[in-house]
Amino acid sequence: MAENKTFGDFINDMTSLDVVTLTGNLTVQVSALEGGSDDDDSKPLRFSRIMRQLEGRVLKKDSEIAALAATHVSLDRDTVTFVKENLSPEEAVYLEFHNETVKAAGIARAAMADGIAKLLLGSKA
Amino acid sequence: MAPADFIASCRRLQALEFTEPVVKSVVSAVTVEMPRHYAMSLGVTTGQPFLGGGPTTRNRRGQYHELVQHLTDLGYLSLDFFRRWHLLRVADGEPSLGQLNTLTAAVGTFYREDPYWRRTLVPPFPDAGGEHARQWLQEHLTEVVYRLGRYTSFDGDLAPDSTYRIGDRTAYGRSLVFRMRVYFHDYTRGRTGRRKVYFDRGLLPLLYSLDNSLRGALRELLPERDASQLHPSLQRLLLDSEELFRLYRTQNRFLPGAGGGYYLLYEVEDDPSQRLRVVASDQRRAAPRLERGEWHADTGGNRLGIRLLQLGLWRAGFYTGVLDGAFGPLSHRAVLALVDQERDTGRPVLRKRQLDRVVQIVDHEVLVDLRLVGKLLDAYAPLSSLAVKEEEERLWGEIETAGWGDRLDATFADRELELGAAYGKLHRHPHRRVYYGLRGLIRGAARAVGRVLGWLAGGMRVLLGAVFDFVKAVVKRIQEGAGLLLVGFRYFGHYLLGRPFVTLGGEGVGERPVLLTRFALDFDTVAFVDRRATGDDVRAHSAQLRRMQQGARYFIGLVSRLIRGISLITTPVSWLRLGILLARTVRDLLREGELGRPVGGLEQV
Repeated sequence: MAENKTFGDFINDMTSLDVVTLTGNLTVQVSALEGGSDDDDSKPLRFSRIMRQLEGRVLKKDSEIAALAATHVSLDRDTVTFVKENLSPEEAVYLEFHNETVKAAGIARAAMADGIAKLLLGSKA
Repeated sequence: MAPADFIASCRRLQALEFTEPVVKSVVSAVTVEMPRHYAMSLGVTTGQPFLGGGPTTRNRRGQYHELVQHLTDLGYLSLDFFRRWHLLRVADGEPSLGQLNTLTAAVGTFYREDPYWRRTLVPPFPDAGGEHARQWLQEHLTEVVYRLGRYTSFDGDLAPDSTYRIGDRTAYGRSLVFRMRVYFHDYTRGRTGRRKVYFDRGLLPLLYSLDNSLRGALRELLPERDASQLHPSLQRLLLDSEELFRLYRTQNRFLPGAGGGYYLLYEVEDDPSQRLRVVASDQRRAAPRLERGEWHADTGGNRLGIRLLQLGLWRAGFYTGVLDGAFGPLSHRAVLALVDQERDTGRPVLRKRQLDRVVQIVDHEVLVDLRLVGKLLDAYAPLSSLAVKEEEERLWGEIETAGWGDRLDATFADRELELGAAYGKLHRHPHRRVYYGLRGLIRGAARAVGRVLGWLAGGMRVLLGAVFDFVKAVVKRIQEGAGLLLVGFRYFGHYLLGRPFVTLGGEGVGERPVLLTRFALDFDTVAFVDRRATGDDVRAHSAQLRRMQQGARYFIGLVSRLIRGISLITTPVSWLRLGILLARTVRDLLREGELGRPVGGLEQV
C-alpha cells in the first residue's frame, strides 16, 4: 500500500466512491513479455514486466492520457458522473465499461468491508 | 521471516493497522515465506512451486491425487482415467489438457449434484468449462476435495439424507453405490467397466444379502421391492463402517468378551514363519480346536467379514490394497504391521501375550483371531472432532517435549523425501488407494507417537501405520489450510496493495493494447483503456473484473478469518504447525457451510 493510511482514514474514505476512467496510448510489446532469463517465473506473461512497461509509458510527456469519465458516489448514494464530450463509437463502448466499473467497485467495496468487519470483530474479543 | 513475526504482523493487521510495513510484512509472509516452507505449488504439477525453489515434495499434486480418487470412487471418472492419472504421477509427468478438461468436467457434474454449493458464497462453477473451469477448480480445490471426502468417508461424516429417494441422480446416490461396491463387488475383476453410477432398485437384493451376513439384524429396516426410500438407520449403517463392523461382530459373537472364537484361516505366498513370532504352545492348542471345528470361521456372504477387516486396516493406514474380500499378502502384511505397531504403543489395548495370539501359524496356514484384531482396530476408530483435537494436541505436545519443535520444519522436509517407496509403485498396483479420513489418521499417529518421533530422528524405516498417518495428516492439512490461504490471498492482497487488474487486448505479436483497473483500499477506482482496445477487449477485461468480484466476497471474508485466527496464536509455532492451525480454521468454516451458513459470509463471525 502506497499510502500510510490509518483506520480512521480508511473509514473516511469508505464513505464515498470515486471512479475515473482514462484513455490514451498504452501498449506493451508482446516480445518483451515472453521468454527471457532474468526471471524465475516462466509464464509467458509476466506481471512485473507489464508494470515496468506501463510505468515507463505513463511517465512519458507524450503519453496523451485523458479522462473519459469520472463518477462520484456519495454516502447517500447520490451519484455525479462527468463524461467527455463528443464520444466516438469506440469511446461509447468504453463508457459502458466505466459504468460497469462503478458497479464492480461498489460490490468489491462491500466485500472488503465484510472482511474488515471480520478483523474488527475479532479485535474486540 | 519466522512464524512469530508473521503472527505479530497479523495481530497488527487485525488491529486494523493498514500501514505499509505491516501490509508488506503480511504479504511477504504469505506470498514468499509460506510457499517456500510449504513448497506449495498452485498448479497440478510439481515442477513449478509458487515462487520457484525449494523441494517439491509438498504441493497440491497430493490434493489432486485425492480429488481423482474420490471422483473415481463416486463414478465421476472411470477406473481407466484413475489408472492413467497415476501412471503419469509415477512418471512425474504433467497431465494433458484433455485430462484436465475431463477432470474439470467431472467436477462440474459433481458441483451440480451436490446441494452444498447452492448454500455457499463460493462463486458458481463456470458452465462454459475450459480455462475458466480449470481456474475455478484451482481456486476451490480444497472445498471440492473436502466435500467429495464426505461422500467417500466411512467415518460417518456424511449424515443420512431424509429427502433421498431411490434412483435420485445425486452425489448422495453415487455415495450409496460406492458403498455397495466396496461391500459387494470386486474392483479388479470383470465388473469394472459396468459400474452402476447411482443407487437404484436393482441394488435392493444386495441389502437383503447384507442382512443375511448380519444374521437378520436389519430385517425391520429393509425396503420393499417397490420402495422409494431407504430407512435412515439403514443409510447410516452404509455410511459408517464402524457401526457396520460393530453390528457384524455383535451378530457373529466376536466382540471382546463374547464367548467362543472367531478366526480367519488362510494361506499366503510369503513364508509366514519368517514374519511371525511363533508361539509353539499356542500352535499346539490351536490345531486340534480348529480340527474339531470349535472355531467359527465363516466370514459372511460375499466375504463381508474380510471386507470389513480390510476396511478397518485401510482406515488405520496399514492396508493400501483393493477392498475385495480376498485376504492376500497385502492384507496379511497389514495385520502383521498392526500387531507390530501395537507392540510399542504407549497405550496398549491387548496384553503382550494376547498380541502374540493375534496371528498364529497352524500347519503352514495363518490363523488370525478376528476378535483380537477387532479390539485393536477399535483403538484406531475415529473420535469426535473435539476429542480428536485434544488427541492431536497431545501428539504435538509430545513432539515438542521430545525437542523436535524447533527443528520440525527442516526435519520433516528431509524425512518426507524417504516416503517415495511407501507412496510410489503405482504402476505395479494401479488400484492402490489411500484412506483420507482425517480423524482416523490423527488417531493412528497419536497412538504410536514413539514411532513418529523415531521416524523424525531417522531411525524408523517402516512407514506404514503411525508414520504414514502422521505424514498424511500433516501434508493433507497444509494443503487444506495453507493452500486456501495462498489462493485467497491473491484476492485480498490485490485490494490490500492496490494492485491493478491488467488485461492485454488483441492477439498475436507486436504491441498489445492495455486495459487495467485499480481498486484502492477505499475502492476509489482508476480504470485505463488504451485507445486501440476493441469492444471484445473491453468485454474480456470486464469479464475478468466480474470473476474477481465473484471471488472477492468469498475469499476476502475467508482470508480475514484466517488472519484473525493467526493473530490469536500465543505460543511459538513452526511453519508446519501454523499450517495445521490454519487448516483447523478452514475445516471449521467448511463445516459451517454444510450447516447452511455461507462460507465467507459475515454472519458467521
